[in-house]
Amino acid sequence: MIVAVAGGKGGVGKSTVSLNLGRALDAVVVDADLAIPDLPDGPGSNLHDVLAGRADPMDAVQERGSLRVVPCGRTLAGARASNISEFPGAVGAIERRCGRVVVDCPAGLARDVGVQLHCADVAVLVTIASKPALMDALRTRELARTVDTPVAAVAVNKSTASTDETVAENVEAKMGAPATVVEKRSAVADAKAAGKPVRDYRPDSPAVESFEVIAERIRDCERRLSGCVGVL
Amino acid sequence: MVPVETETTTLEGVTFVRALVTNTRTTPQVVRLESTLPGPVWPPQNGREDAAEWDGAAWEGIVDAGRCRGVGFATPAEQADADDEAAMRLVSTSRASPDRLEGTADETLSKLDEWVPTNDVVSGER
Repeated sequence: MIVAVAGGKGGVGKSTVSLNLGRALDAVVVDADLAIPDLPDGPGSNLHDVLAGRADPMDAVQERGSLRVVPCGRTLAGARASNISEFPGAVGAIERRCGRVVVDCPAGLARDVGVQLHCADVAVLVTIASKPALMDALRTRELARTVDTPVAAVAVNKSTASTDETVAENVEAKMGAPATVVEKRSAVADAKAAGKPVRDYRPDSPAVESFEVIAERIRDCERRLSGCVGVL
Repeated sequence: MVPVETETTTLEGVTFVRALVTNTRTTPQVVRLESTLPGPVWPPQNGREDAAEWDGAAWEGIVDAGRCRGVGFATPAEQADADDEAAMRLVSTSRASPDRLEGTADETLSKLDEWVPTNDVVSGER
């Protein structure tokens, strides 16, 4: 199962959602933002090496506490040398070995996001309750639809107002996928800064439950998908 | 009728071909055009890949009813006589089906902009 976490707009919390979904689903989190990576890099191979044909995808999977991640390189030369058309094969190889993969997509709607959405089984859209972010999420949903990837869930992230529940209802109606409000909590940001999912940092945070709701939705999709094998 | 007008310019041994295809019919048409020049076709590039709708020496795209579209390519081949024959010829036209109008995933991907690092990569490094 490959889950693409996308949203169009930058700064809405795609990496935070990816990290936390990765923990909830026991998945490998792939930092697929080739130019502005977010997950900390470390020694060893990274996604730039894999997409340039210099490393095997499994060699780039690194253990980070309770998580398994594929970090992205930090150099512009590495970004330029990356061949995005190698991405589906690389992620597919990780999926076959590790089961679940969460792809943390970059902002924007260029071909990198298109390829990543296309190779995913389902997409999770991340937005905040602001008009530009919601418009970008809608555009991303449209792109996902045209590359035949269903949207499994929408996270209305960094919520600070009770009216965001109404926003989430509207998002559900407009996007045809269940929307979950994730409250803005300092624990989430602090955990992200420490490179950890909030469950490992502050297990009693309400955000843990919100991410679990989205994860359960993805498990539902996975069960349905495996039930469809041979029928499709 | 789906008329095709072509124009060629030769510069430094490279021939640039421009074609304008017009759909005068009342339904969207899938139009296929082909180069008539003997040499290889260099289609436009979108990043590292050929532009959408190009397949080797042929271009196939949808032209909406009453609209026209421009198509172009380059080739090292020279046209024998500029007035002799059009550099692109119409191979076929057919009414576009609803599925075709929607486009496939691959078509969508080939139409997306090539990704480039954003300005953000240098922000904060000044």
